[in-house]
Amino acid sequence: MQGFFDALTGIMKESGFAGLIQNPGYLVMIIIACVLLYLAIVKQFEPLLLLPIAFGMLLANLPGSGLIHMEYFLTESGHPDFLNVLNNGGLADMLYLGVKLGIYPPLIFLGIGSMTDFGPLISNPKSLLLGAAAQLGIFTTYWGAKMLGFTAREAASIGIIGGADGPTAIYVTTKLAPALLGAIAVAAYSYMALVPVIQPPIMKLLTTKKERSIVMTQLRPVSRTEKIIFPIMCTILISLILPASAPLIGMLMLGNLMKESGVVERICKTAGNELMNIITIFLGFSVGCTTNAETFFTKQTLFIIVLGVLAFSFGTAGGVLLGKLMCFLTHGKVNPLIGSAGVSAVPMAARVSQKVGQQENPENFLLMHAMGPNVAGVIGSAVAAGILINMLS
Amino acid sequence: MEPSILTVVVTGLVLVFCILILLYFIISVQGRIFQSIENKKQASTGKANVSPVKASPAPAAPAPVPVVEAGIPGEVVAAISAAVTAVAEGPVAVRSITRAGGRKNGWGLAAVYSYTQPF
Repeated sequence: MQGFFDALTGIMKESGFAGLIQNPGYLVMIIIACVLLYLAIVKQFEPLLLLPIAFGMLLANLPGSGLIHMEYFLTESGHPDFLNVLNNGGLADMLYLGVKLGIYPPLIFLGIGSMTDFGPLISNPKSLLLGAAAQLGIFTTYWGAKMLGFTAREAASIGIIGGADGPTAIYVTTKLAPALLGAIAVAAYSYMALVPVIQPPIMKLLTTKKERSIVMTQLRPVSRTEKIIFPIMCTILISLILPASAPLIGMLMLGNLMKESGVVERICKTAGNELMNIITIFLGFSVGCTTNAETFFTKQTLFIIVLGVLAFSFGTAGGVLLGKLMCFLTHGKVNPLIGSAGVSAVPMAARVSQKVGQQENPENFLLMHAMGPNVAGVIGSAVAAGILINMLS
Repeated sequence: MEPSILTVVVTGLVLVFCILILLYFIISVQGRIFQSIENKKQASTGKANVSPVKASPAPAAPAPVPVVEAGIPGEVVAAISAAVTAVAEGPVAVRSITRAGGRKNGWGLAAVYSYTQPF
């Protein structure tokens, strides 16, 4: 009988419940994971990524599950301990290699490129300026993070949240501050999901009713040749100036060239559907697994959450303010609301511009005009990422 | 040595703007070249040049906000509105969006049309 009780006690001590009692932080993380699952399933906030991230978070915070071994990745040399990962690592460790080695974000960009129409941007190249202005959030947040005591590399990783581009944020963080990956990825995707909530008040605050009602001229049609030349030209130009941007820009443009050329329909469909879906599962799940209670519950995480929303706000404000300037210079031909779409978050930010514009003037259709700055924002944030990696790595 | 905050912020912003402005100029030049080629083609075929549709001023009495049936998400409303604008020649306003009734959905009707249209 004594043996039975000893065995039972041993099992209880080894169980996850004992771990929960020892570190209640796990319980809090499980609750946070459940809230994120609720937001993904019920509210449908970026469910494709939030759901796997939240479930990875849930699994990583079940004490004793030993799902991922971050000590194999956060080494002093900065390189993964491949020997341990391959010998002792499990599923999450293997999947996380794709994040750590910077493989998933460019592959996601490949899929995004295969689904993106750069036509509105080519038709109205001024949109590029709005895409550049919206990167203001990245650099102001860098400044704010430095003021709060983060290192330059950490500050850059936090600032890139302002690009409103999840893969770019993950890519930069794995290169510059891998220890912050979990918090930054969760903040980036959560705020991207909250774009319809964060942006409209800023847009309305910075614009007048008259400006919001401006109807823009119809975009000129863009030929197929122009659409084919664009990704090739962009890749050559940006990669020559900023080689650090080449993996992101290159894959984005490869995907787009596959779409626009029309000669590789099969692999274009694969890149935009099956491959993108597989990578999304791997990326979301493995990033979620990095949000362990022991590494997540820090003052730094709190700062990242606050700085993340500031990054989004400054990015939105930067785009809208340049939109106002363009409106003034063109004597009212540009609706400043399209500037807010300069933060990436494709296509949600463009939909927000459309929605806010239509609230003032139901006959106004800004969606296609806003898609220009929106895709310019993707290019802008990849360029900003290249600059930060180049300067700080 | 780690660069100063000001160096990173100023260099970053200036470089982002410079690269995107460079892209802007290249795309603008490319667009002009292609437009002039298109105009020449049209002139040679005797077609009249089609200038881009100018924006029409907002009407004095704005159209009401579209009445949307419950359960239709915002992105669907945005997509329908954009599609209507793309095909319409003059100023238009979407007044209401409701689900189509009947047993067959749009895809079913498209399939029927596709099979029966040759006959």
